[in-house]
Amino acid sequence: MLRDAVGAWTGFRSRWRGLLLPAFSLPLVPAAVVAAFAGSERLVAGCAIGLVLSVVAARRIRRGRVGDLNTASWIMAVGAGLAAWLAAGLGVIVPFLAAAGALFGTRMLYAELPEAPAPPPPAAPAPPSQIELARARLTRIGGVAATVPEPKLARVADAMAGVLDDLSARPERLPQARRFLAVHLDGLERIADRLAAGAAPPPRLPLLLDDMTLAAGELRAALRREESEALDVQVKVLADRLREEGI
Amino acid sequence: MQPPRPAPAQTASTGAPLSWGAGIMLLGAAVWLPGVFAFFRAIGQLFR
Repeated sequence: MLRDAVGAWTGFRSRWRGLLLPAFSLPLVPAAVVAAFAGSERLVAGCAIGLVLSVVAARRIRRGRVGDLNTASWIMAVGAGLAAWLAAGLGVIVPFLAAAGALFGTRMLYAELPEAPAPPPPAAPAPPSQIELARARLTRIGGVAATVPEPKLARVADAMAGVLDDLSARPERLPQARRFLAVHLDGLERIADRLAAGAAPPPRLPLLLDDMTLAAGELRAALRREESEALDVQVKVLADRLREEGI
Repeated sequence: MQPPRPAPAQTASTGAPLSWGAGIMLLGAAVWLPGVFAFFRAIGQLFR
């Protein structure tokens, strides 16, 4: 029964953990006010340091992670020592004793309260997918297309972006577009780089870009056709099942 | 955001009240008393 009572007391203390530290520093508040009227800056500084550090220590203890009690007890020690030296004017040796008392007093006061381990680091973001990488490359090509004297470049980039939109909706179709991504997008990127570097567009370039636009359109049509065929099969299977059930 | 505070130990040590009491006395002597000294010192400086 004694253990249960102590456990309940510990639970109660866990909710209010850390708040006793600023409570012990409360006499520094009126001391600071009176010292401010007296014009004693050293006294005010000592009171302020003692108060602020006691609040910081309390916040650290309330966080409740492993190692926080140790940190908070050192913060209290520094605050108590400086307050005893600057504010109370207790000489040189007594502030050290006050610091030691605050250090061990804080540890003894909160020793039996449990501390939680630090939270795990956030998971690293997933690497960009192939579609995202391709989209980034197309965006760059679109930027280059605005600056070079070849209007069909932007049209090809838009057509390829349409293919990527279809692939984003159905990523399982990516294997069918692998050649497209590897050859067409790569080729377009090289063309854009050369044009951006100042190369003069050869006479056959517009025809090639037209063919690439056409190829992108055909790939989109092929993807849509496969979806339609899959839907056709689904409808047929469902109709057969319903017929079997007599509907 | 603060992490959820850990639940208190199911079986706390029966020496906990002694540790707590000793901590109270030490903090009282090390933190509260110098605060009181500072207050009276400030009053002394006010009326000097």
